[in-house]
Amino acid sequence: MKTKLLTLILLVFCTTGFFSCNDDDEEVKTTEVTLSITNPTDLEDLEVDKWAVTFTERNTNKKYAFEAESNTLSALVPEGDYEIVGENSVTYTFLGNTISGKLYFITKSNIVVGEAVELAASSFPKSEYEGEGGFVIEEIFYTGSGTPEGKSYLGDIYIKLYNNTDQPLYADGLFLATTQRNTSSSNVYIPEILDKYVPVSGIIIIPGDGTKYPVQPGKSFILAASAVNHKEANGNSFDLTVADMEWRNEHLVNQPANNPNVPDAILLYDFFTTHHAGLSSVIMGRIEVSQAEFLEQYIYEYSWKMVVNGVEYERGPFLDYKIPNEWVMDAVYTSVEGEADAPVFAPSIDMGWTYCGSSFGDTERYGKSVRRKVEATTTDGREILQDTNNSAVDFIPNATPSLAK
Amino acid sequence: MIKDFRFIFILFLVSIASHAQDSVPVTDRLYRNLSPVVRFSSATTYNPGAKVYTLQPDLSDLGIVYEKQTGDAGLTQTGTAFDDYVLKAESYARKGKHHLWGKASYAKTHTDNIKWNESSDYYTIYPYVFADSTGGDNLTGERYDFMGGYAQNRGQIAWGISLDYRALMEYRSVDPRPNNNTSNLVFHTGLNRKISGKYAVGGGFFLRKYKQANAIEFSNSLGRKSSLHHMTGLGSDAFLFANNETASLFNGKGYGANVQLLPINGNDVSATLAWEHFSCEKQLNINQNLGLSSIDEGKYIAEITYLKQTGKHTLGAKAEATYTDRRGTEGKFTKNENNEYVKISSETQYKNQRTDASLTFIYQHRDSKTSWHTMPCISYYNTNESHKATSRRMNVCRMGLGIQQGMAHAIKKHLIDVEANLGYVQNLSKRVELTGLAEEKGIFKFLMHDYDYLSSNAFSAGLSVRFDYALPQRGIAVYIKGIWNYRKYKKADSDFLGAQLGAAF
Repeated sequence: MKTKLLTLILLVFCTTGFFSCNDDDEEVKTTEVTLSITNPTDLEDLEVDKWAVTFTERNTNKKYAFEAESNTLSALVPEGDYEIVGENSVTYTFLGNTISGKLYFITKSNIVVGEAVELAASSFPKSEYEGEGGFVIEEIFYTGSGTPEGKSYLGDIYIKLYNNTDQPLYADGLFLATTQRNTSSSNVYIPEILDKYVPVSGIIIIPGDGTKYPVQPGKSFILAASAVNHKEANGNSFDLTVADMEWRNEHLVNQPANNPNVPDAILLYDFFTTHHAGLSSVIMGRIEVSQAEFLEQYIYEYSWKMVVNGVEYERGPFLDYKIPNEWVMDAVYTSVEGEADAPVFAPSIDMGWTYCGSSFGDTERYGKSVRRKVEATTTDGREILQDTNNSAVDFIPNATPSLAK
Repeated sequence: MIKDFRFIFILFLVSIASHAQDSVPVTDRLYRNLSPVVRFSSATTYNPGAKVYTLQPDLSDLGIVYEKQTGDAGLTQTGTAFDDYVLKAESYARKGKHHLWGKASYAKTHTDNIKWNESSDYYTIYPYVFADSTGGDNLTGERYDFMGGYAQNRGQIAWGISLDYRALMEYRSVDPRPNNNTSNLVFHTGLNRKISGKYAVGGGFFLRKYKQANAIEFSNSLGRKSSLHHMTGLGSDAFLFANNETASLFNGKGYGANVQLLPINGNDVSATLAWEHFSCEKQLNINQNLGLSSIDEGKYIAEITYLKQTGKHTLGAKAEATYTDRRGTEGKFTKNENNEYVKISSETQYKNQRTDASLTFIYQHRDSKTSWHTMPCISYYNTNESHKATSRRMNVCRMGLGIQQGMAHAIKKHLIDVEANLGYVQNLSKRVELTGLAEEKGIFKFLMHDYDYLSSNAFSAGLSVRFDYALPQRGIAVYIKGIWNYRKYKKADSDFLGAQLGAAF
């Protein structure tokens, strides 16, 4: 009996020993990804270097970095849903100048499961802004609402900024500027500076000490030319008393009605207004020097040449201001069919344009805005807006204004 | 609702406790019941039909218990300190071929030093707990346990059933505020047949249903400093759902079977081989309960006990081993065009293979009034924990030596029972790889705390003293019991004090 007992006890412990040595190392399920990257077709003399590509698995936030000598990348990654970002140092010719910059692509959701997956990405010139970011221009209503009689009514133009992050941000210190150039111009500017600066004709700045104008995640900050209830003057318009801020122009003869209850933006450089057909564009960012220093050191003195019936005319000099490309957080390139001949800033600021109306004089544009698309909605209802530095794809043209109810 | 529940519960306690009556003096029954020989084999844990072969005397116990543990030894996610009040009743009665037993208890608990876990029942659902980065003290709980069993001895055949239900509510009144409700229902049954004058063979199975609703709220959402995480093991978490899904549901089920060799008179060889399976899915309260992860656990248990009683001497040995293989499967998700999460793949990422084994010897000398026993034990523990996607692992292997000495003495209406124990745990091997975790992160520190706790050499000592006094003519003894236990690890220690006041009859 005792022998049997000892045998059983030994058996138990031998089994125990067997179990404890069982230490298998299985491999994670992986997928072979072939990524084809397309370069922009409208960049002249484009020369690309190696692609640095990062795959971020969205379930785990784990990152996998790769390099690709060509525009096709093969990568072995664990199964998952990936955001893929790529960057490449490039040179291209822009307005006769050789630009050294970066190409960039981002694709937000790529399902990578199974043995092999083929993916594609389109690249675009990368913005040079290197600040903290987070705000985007959500909407520009530049056409005016139009009257019941079909006339133009420009008193109710507005611009909406949006906190596209999951953290509260402060709008204090943000600037908005309208481009000095418009897209219908065929003028040749001397000196040409678009590879480094955005020439602007008006700048406003949101005041505050850095904590005065918080914007919660997924919320907007509305700037209006006249923050009054425009329904009273125009039945087709809307109530802009909901605006967070007004902008005023000192030299405007017919000032729009002022709402004393809505604070005014700082007018850094008069004259700030959007173009009624969108031929000038709006940029947004932060002035990275003092306002006084900016006004002193960032003057753009230029002249322009144009040719009419074979005769060349030169005009100037003119004075405006210029904003370094790397200060620009976001821009909305606007124009209209038939008038989009000339750039108003470098493609690294914004690659493509969006619009209201089908031609320059089209009154159908009245009451339409350009609105940024929603890329995703978080489970708590916060919308993430699309921002690929290409307004042609990021914006809904001819959109119904968000404030029209 | 809770008050009604408590009322029904107290009625249940009293009815169970008042059931058992016996003509044998209560001190004699207590003297027999306190013997470690009675509980040496755990065969009845698996097979309620085995209850008919036990040496357990008829006895009922109604008591109130206070327990308090302080110190920082323990797993961070379970908390290392607590104080509990428990009202409990248990009873065992035998009448002819019928055996009836039951237990019920109500506990009010407070647990402190919990971090990186706001779910309840950690050992049931790990590693997929819901956690916040703050954690804290004073997790308040109310626990209700009910267990009832019946066994019948029909000569050649014996059978039994038991039903065990536990409900637990846990919450905290300051941020972060978990609000957890759990329920656990287990049904056991077993059937035995005599094969000789000394032995029976038996077998049984069990079914289990487990549920937990687990939510975290913050009353001060603006000032919230905690981040919320659905943990996936060894410090990893489901990043996609961090901070935005604050409610989860655990839905589990289990089953198992066992075979046994049972000595009919409680002595000689008893052997149990058992297999248990438990699976539990963690669901998020979105998309009609999205299945985020699941665990699958297989447990293999072997126990062999030998007891030999000769006159006043009882000699015995018990070898038991449990191998547990827990696997965790995690889903990966994307969002469809309706903004709903859709599972795109799932894979086993987490593994915990654990072996617990022990060899215990017992010698008891017992006469009609005085008994003493010595119970040396050697134990072995090995755990291999790994998370595949993050390439993290934690392996610990240790061995323990312990001894328990006990003495019981009955004098007329009095009974005194004293037990003392000493133990030492020696680490045999250890390895930890926490790939990708920065040392300054709080989560790294909690994992290292757990690793130190599991892998450290440790010393333990304990003492319990119980004094019973039989009331005249009523067959009732009132008792008071005190317990002290101390554990000392390299970087942590733990002090446990318990006091119990009750009546046995």
